[in-house]
Amino acid sequence: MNDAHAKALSDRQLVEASLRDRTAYAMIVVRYKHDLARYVRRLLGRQIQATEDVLQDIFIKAYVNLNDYDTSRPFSPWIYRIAHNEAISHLRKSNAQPPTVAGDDAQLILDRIAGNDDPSASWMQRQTTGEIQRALQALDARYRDVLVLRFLEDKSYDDIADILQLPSGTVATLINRGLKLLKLPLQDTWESLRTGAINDRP
Amino acid sequence: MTDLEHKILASIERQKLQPKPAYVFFAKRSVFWLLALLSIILGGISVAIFFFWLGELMQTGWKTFDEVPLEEVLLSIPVAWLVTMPLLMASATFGFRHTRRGYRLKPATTIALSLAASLVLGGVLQGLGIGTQIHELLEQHVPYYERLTHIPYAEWSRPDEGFLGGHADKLQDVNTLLLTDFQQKIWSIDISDASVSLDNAIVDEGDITITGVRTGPATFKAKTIAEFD
Repeated sequence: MNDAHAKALSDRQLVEASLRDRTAYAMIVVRYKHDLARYVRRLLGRQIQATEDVLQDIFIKAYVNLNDYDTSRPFSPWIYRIAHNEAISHLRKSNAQPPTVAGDDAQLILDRIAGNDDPSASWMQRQTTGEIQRALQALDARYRDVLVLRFLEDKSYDDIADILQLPSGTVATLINRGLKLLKLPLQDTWESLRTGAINDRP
Repeated sequence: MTDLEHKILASIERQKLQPKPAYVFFAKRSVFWLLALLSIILGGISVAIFFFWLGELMQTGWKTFDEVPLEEVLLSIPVAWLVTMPLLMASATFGFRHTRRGYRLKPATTIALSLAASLVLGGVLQGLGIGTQIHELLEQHVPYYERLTHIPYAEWSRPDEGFLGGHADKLQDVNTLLLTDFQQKIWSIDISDASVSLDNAIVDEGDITITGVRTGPATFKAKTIAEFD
């Protein structure tokens, strides 16, 4: 299979081709390696040096389980689910601390939340990247997971439901609650800064 | 081909890995579907037997559903069934959740759906008389079930043979008891020579059993009086 031909194939066709000929699987790796590497790095945090090993495990596991993929559904959430599970399993095995959120990612989340129709958007935009980073760090993993998938990986609610194996309604609830929880510590900082500023006035 | 694709394909080749056959996943999913289905069927059987009891209670006293006292119905459901139904619902939920897209349903929705399916199935089974057959089968072959569930209404509804049971309503005089039997018929019982084995006063006992002789259309002479259990 030449590259041009492989690029024209859909994910489903590539999966079917990979089941017949494993060299076709290289095209799936090419198609998803950058997205998955970025996602895995976000999940691993301080364990970032393990990204390539985890990525290899993900693609090998996906290959072995190719027949489990439901061809009537998009391929991306299916392989993201494997990536999520492998990264979490790696963190558990290595007893790692909860992942830190990179400064760039914190800024990106900030921009994307601000880009939403959320009425608190403009207020959120006034927060610093460091504050957002600390607030994200303090969040429970289930809220951080959905916020990362929604605002950093740009996944739809349906895709997030498939990746985390949750009902769509639960995803919406977690996102809403996660955003509220994210704002709580920021609100305190904002209030104390505001009060401080008033008290410092001559 | 870049480094990563090369490494992955080399690793697959080195470990001689193959995609697991489709039937492995099909079998795995089937196990969960079967678990869910089995839970619903068992739940349906439980419900059918419950409907059977309800029918029995209505035939042996209360004429319409509205007249069936909730407390009596609840007391008639053995603890075994109360434990079984949540377990069946839990296993149905677990089974559904592990099917391909079962996680899309909220656990509460899955429980409600499987409960509804069990209720419908139970109604159909009892409608076909299967609930009664299963009850009789269990009663004959499972002594524990028999001990738990058997309520001897029929045995104490044979006044012509000397066996009468029912609710002790009130003492008309020192020797005469008014009793409502399990078919709601009111009897006047002569208790002047009766041997009474009760922990409480007769009218405080509730349901009682009487052995003796029928002396008229609605009169009975008691030899022994004991509690109904």
